[in-house]
Amino acid sequence: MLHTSARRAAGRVGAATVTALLALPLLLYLVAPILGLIARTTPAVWISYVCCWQAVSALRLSLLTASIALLIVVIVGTPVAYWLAHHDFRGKGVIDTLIDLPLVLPPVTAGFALLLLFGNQGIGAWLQTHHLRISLTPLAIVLAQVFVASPFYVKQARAGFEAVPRDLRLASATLGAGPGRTFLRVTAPLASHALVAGAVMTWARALGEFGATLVFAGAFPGRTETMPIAIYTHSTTNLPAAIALASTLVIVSFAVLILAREIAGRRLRIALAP
Amino acid sequence: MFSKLRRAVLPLGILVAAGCGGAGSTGPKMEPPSATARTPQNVRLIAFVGAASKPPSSEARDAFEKAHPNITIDMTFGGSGTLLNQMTLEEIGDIYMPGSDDYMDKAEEKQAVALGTRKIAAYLIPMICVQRGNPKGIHSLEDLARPGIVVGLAETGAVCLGDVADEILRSAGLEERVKKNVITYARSCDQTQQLVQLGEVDAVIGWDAFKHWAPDDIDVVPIARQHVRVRSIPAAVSAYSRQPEAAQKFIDFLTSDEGKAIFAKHGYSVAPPQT
Repeated sequence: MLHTSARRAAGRVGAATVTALLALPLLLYLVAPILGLIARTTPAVWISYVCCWQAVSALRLSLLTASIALLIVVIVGTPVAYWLAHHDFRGKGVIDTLIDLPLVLPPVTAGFALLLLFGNQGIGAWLQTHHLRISLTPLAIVLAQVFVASPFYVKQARAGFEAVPRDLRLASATLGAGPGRTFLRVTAPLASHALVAGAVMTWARALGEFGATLVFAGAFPGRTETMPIAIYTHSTTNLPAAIALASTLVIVSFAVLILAREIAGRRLRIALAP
Repeated sequence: MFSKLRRAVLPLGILVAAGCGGAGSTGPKMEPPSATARTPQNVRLIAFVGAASKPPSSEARDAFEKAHPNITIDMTFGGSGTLLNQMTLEEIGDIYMPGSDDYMDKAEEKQAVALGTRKIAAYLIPMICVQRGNPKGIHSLEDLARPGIVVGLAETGAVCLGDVADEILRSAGLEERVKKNVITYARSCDQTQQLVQLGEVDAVIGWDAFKHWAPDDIDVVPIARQHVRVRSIPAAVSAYSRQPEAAQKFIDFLTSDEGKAIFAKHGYSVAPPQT
């Protein structure tokens, strides 16, 4: 008996080792270029280029706009995800594909599309008569980020809502809870893992957004120059500075993502505790 | 649940308010960089500047603003074509300063700049750019055709530098032979420079300024005078400018001795070469 369980345990360890070895190539492929990037940044270069106010300003702008974009995506994306998860209707496939479109559209094309819509050739002229300008302003950064990053949240949230058993929602309704209360007390908590995962991916994609932002918001230092744009403008004439900025963005993003997962994970554990 | 939501939203609201930049805020300002005169004396200009000119043009802007405290210049940087599209689609901007003169030609064709306002801030002189120390012993265009030499060029038709390289190689009668050694065509000037800077190729036909952009990685070899094709970095007043006088003042500053000294400091040629 003891001999059999020991053999099973050894088998589990062996399977885990094989799985880890199979996972290793992709992990190395993902990590090695990033480590190479960080390794090329010397402290002297970092102090020269990253500690300047422009880099700090670009990083702050990136963090701020990505966070606002995430908030907007959560507010407007959650109803879309819920609608698609729980309702069947004609043309649902078309709506589903439309949501996927920003994923396949080259970001520069997305930038021009937004510029044509919100710029002087579109509704921009009318908006300007009401003293609101969107193109080439920080607001354009947020809109570009919402456009390219929202599918990540909507798709994850939809999968999360679909995974909530219908019986539980019905039970909530039979106990007298309205749709809003059922959503807040039953559906949303049970789909929390997917919602958080989608939010994290959306924030990360918004933070790294470059092409659409450059075209739609421009690259005004201190105003619309986000970290990815600062990396691009520096890469033209000063590659060491661009690498230092890129390393900083990677490290800060990694730290924020780890922190977000940790906080979200802890809250979820508390929320789901019996 | 709602109180939790309020707690989550509140810090973001504060962040937005901070980003909106009240008086005295040093953070990113959310108001558009519109080209409106703040007072009859105080003027705000928008300049669309090729990304490669960022270091000298930013320094020139700082010096100009110091000398003209009533004029503020907001600069945006990017590829010359993208900038031209932004400027024409938005019908905005006061100064256009692309990375090379062919984009200024396009701007003039589109009537996006005021004719007669174009001035040259710096000259772009083609050179053979090799890795530091010239390990492959490349001393002429003929050497680019040697077997085993790995060459990168900018793409003809897409990048001004590509057209220039094409003209140079045709002038030297080496077009076919050198192109046998070309392993890649870059889509921008900076990508062309990075090919040799990162050691992907032995040589590229680039601009003289590449040496200044990456002094630790790049050496330059002059091209025989009869084959050299010179280009320039021009600046002109936008056709959409509402303050053309102030915009012209900045362009005049760029081409003044002080402006030229700034460009020269950043490795650009500020006088036309003898060809």
